Amino acid sequence: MNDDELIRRMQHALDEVHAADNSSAPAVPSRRGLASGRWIAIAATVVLVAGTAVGLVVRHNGSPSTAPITSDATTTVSPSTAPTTRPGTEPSTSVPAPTASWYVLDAAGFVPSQAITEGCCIPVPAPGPTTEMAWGASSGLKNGLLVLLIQPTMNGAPVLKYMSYGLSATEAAAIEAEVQPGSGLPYVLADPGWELLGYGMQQMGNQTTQEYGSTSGSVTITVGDYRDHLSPLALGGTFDVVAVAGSTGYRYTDDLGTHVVWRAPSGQWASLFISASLASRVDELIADVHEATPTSPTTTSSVTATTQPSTTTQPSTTTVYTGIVNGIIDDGHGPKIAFAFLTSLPPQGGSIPLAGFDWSMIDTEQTLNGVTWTTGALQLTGTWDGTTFTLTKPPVAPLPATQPPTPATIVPTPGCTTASVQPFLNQLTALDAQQLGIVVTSDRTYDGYCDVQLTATFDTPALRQAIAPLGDKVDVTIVFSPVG
Amino acid sequence: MQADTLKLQATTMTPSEPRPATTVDFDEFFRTYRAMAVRWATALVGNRAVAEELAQDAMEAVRPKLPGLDNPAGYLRRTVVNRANSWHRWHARSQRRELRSAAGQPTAYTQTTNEMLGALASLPYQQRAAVALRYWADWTDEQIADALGCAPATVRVLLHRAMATLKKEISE
Repeated sequence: MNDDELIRRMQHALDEVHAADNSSAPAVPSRRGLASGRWIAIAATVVLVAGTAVGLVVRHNGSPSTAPITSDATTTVSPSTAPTTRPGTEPSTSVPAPTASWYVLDAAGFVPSQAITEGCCIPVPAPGPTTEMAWGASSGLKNGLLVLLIQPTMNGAPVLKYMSYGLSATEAAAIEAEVQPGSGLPYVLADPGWELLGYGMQQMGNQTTQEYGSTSGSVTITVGDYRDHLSPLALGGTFDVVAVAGSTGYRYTDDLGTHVVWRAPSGQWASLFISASLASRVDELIADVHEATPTSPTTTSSVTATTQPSTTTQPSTTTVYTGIVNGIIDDGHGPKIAFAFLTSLPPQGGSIPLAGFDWSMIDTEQTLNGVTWTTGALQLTGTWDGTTFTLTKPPVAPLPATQPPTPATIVPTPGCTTASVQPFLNQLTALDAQQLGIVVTSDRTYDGYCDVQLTATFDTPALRQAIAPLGDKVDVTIVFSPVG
Repeated sequence: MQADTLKLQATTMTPSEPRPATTVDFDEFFRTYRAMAVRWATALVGNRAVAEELAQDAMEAVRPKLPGLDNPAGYLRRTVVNRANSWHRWHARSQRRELRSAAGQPTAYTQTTNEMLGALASLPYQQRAAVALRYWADWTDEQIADALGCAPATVRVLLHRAMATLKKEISE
């Protein structure tokens, strides 16, 4: 096949993909519409930081990504009594709450690219993402790994699928039988010989990613919530136990390269990906990964998680905040602020509990199967005690004039590059995102403009104090701001 | 010979991209570039619905910066490429598993399209971006280089490698 034929076939293929559902070219959105859309994107990450249910605006397009995950080691059951608890609705007590960990690659010839910290904001077709739980044998994963995939369905109980490693079919069936619905966690494995290693949603969760490039290949490091780190180990292949940055890691290889996953001392999960072109240097590169503490020398400021006085991280309950959200939902456990929804029917979402609210305050609510919700931009005003947002006046539809101000235009900085803003990004990523309500941090450089971006839920004194040393180097977006 | 062919393509597929007015109006910018952004993202992620989400997100990212940008289209291109890269990275592992489990099952596309999408998906992101943006979205080498943060010469290397890999993947 020559180049022309190959190009023609590629053009034909992408034409076919592009033509799919090609009837949705929208009119130019109003400022209000765009702002709402931005909040939807922001909010999906806010939800995770708030530590409660995740909501996303998604499209159901019937793409292959809805295909069930199966493997030779997979068995399927559909219990009628499967719980519907979603990750985050009740925090896991078995997995330690993380204090930020970070790892760096110290290898000659590798240049770090921008680090991206985000919670989610990835489009996932309805009925939503799969939840994954992983347990390991106390004697080591080589002796036993059990992964449970909880796949939501559009209408009905989720489908459960088990995968395992190091267990015979009989042993796997026996340990699967010990998995029971839990009260705090969706499922529990009350066996003293097993430990819950991870619990989270596939493709979802706070995670910071940094890629290191070289002339011969790339290395990517991620640190964050558990997503689906361990299920690849149970897909039927093999893995090795390796030491990585002082922790026990699990290494496996696929067609793209080598992966190493491990649980950081903070309780977060980390991964290392080494592209296939670097296969001959895998051992060397794994050894070049080092843990960086929040007071890593890469930061140029004293602003670290450990320097934040805990007393200043709590919001004042007398401060009145106002902000625009994407709706309110009550699934039977009280109304919650929804920054975004999963587009199932009824929808799913909701994060911060909302007090002082009554459905009589609005006239656009819908109810189905015990869930009441309203979608669309709503301006909420009230106080926040760190857990609950209490309305001080009824919700209103935001006027264009009340939209959050757009960030100031960044002044071009001579010599500004991704590397030059890295110290500022390091300062942001070293902050305690959970306590300060930080949702997204990333850097951005273009045509001599550069800054670091931060998105947070509430504009609190603690947050302002934490980012003050960065001055105008940080482009801040905050959902709820103090009134006045 | 192959390099000559690639060069010919680069010459004959120069885009006729509209240029926004000096006083940049977002509505006008949106009308002009939204469909292009979707097309670019489609080239990068191979999924129309996801591409629309990425394009919308990129548009919103560009909006606050629009008044101060000398080259808004360039900023949008780079934003789309960066966001598609993030999406690609996050989805790579799950996609592989899903493709594995979906092997042999009917999909919405023709067999040749599925074959090509699979081959494109097997490329490293920069190679995929280079080849799809060059030969389907009609970007110039300079535009691709700007969006990927590399030199135009690097783009030509990426194109060469991508074409070689695609040939191998398709012919297997």
